[in-house]
Amino acid sequence: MKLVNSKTESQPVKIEKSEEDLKGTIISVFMVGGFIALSWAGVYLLFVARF
Amino acid sequence: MHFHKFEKIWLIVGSGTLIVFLLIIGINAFAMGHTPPSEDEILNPREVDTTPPFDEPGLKKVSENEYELVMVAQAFTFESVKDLKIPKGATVHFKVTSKDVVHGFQIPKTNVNMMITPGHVNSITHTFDETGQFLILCNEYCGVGHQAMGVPLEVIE
Amino acid sequence: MMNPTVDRADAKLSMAHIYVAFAAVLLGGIAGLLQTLVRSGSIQLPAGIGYYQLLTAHGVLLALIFTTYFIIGFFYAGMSRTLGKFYDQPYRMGWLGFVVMTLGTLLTTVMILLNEGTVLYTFYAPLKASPLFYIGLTFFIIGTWLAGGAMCNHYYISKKVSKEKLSPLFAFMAVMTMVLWFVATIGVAVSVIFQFIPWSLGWVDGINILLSRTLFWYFGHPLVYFWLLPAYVCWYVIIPEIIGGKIFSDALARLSFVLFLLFSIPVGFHHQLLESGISPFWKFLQVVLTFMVIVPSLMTAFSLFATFELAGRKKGATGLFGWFKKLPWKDARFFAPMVGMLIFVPAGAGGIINASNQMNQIVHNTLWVTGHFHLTVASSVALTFFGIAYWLIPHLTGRVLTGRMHSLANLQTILWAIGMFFMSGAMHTVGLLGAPRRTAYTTYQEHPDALGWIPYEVTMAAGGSILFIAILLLMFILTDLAFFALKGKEDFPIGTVADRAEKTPIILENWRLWLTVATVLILVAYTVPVVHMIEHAPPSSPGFKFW
Repeated sequence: MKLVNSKTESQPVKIEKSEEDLKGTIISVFMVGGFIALSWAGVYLLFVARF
Repeated sequence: MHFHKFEKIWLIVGSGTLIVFLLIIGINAFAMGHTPPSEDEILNPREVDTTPPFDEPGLKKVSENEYELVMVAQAFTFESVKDLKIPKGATVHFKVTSKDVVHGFQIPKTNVNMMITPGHVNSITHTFDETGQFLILCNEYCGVGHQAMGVPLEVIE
Repeated sequence: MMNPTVDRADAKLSMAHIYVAFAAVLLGGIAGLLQTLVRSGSIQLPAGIGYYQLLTAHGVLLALIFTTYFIIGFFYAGMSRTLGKFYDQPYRMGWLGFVVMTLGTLLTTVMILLNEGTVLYTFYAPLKASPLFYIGLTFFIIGTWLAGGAMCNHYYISKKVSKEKLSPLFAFMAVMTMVLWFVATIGVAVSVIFQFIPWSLGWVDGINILLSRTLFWYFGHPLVYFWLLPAYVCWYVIIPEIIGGKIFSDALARLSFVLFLLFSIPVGFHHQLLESGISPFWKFLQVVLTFMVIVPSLMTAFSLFATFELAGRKKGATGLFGWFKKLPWKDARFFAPMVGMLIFVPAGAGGIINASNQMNQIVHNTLWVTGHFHLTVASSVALTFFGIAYWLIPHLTGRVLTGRMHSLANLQTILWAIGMFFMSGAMHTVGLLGAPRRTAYTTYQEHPDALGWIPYEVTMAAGGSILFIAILLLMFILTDLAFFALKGKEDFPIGTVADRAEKTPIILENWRLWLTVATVLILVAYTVPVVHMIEHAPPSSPGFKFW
């Protein structure tokens, strides 16, 4: 896959190995995911209960 | 393409959860017989009054505690019998078509909810385990009297 | 070529669209307020105005006119900013598009006011409006095609001139959104031109209802992504600059837009889950595809939180959530879209529930659905658009967003969130209890179930009243920014990509490839069921005018 720099047409730059600290991010997205899963489960249970 | 380690975890867990949702509803639908109302039967929407069973709408007993309720939706009512009374514990197969525009068919507090498109029959089944007052209502805009389109249904001992 | 400011002539074109957009907000908002008051039994409409006539106006003005005009105006400005002044040919095409769209809008609006088009904005057959209602809609769509054509043309010329392999992120996203629009509107255009217009003119005496609904929803679902993607443009490209951060990843941003093109179209059946004539298999297949379109939103959620966290940490934030406090909460350009993003959490959760095949029976055509899209389009998208307008309008009119206006705009956002909490919250709850959407005040002959809904409908009216006050405040702010605010220079923020972000693979900009994949997916999802709809069609339906 050909790589192109988004600002100038230069050599592909080596990506640093160490990654940013995103602990807050992952906890935040999992809180979002948890909310979605709980809401979904709630309505699913309502669906089952109404049969 | 490069993903941050945490983003990989998030996407794998997130997509995994979506797959679980799909498996649950897929099994519930296809293995347990709860696919959404998708009747394939058609008829001439201009000849509903002369097409059986809609020429004689009403409640028919099929077997012990099992009924078929044939209804014709039209602006702005559901045509069947005058006083809808169903014994507790009865299973009712609703079979409905429309004489004019698109209508909805919904019974609050139950899973009964389907679209009634002219030219098509739609059907749904529900077992009424509790006595009480129910309401069959149209939930698709069908004209100026849409809000009046509802008929009571009573489940009795 | 990057321009620090939008060219003067391009600014006029952009502003023309923005004026129409916000005029529609005011009119549509008035209709909305009246609806909540009627539905709760608080008032009766005077002078023979019908509830459903207002409802049609509300839907058309806000869901179609406001969104589309704002999106096009925003994109013109952003493309001029990131690619440079519009070339003559696309510029003229842009104005032609504006004229054609506006003619269509006026024609359709007049028909609604004359009570000749009270068919709601989904215009389901066989309710039959005046042919002019449908002709107006056709003009509107053709106008948007000219606008999309102008953007694609400008993008194409600019790319050729600059010889850059990779276009600016904003321009890429704008063109992707308009390409999505082209593919989506083909469905509704085919239906209106070949089904509705001949039928309403009396050239044919019937219409295939299921086919018309399917073509509508082939358009109707990507329509919601057409609203959402411009908000994502703001979240991805503009918000990082406003908060003093960087775009987390150019490649992932582009990838998510590619996925939206692929998966937001072959999913229309999830709006038709409860109707006859479509087999459960094909419904479920489209449900699976619908779930695929959630993935790019999961990616977006991560990218946005990462942008916030990295920006906060750069400013010295510590701990797990220290970055949250470092966000510029007092900056209206940030606050309104941010509240929109937060509201997208419950909005997205509701959307997944709606699309979950048989679970749709709980919520279909109840007020839950109305509550749902008042969170998505009327909060997440609308608040983001308001947040854009706060800097875009002064940027285009040569004025500045002053501190006082920041405060008023933040008050607007808070009022909106409170009003929507009550209105949409009540709608979701009463929807689960079974109250139908799109229905005037009714108790179904004092039926106990329906009587139980009234307190929720009163809550909806209270929320709607707060929202209306928020709309009046919005009008005051925007009028000030357009005509009276201090003269000066307001920035058009465009984010830069984080230094350590990975370089963008050029394949993401391979339009032919993505359009081919999108077409294949559409054909797979729709061919068999649509052929069945045509071959196994009942005799056609005549039209009805029940209003």
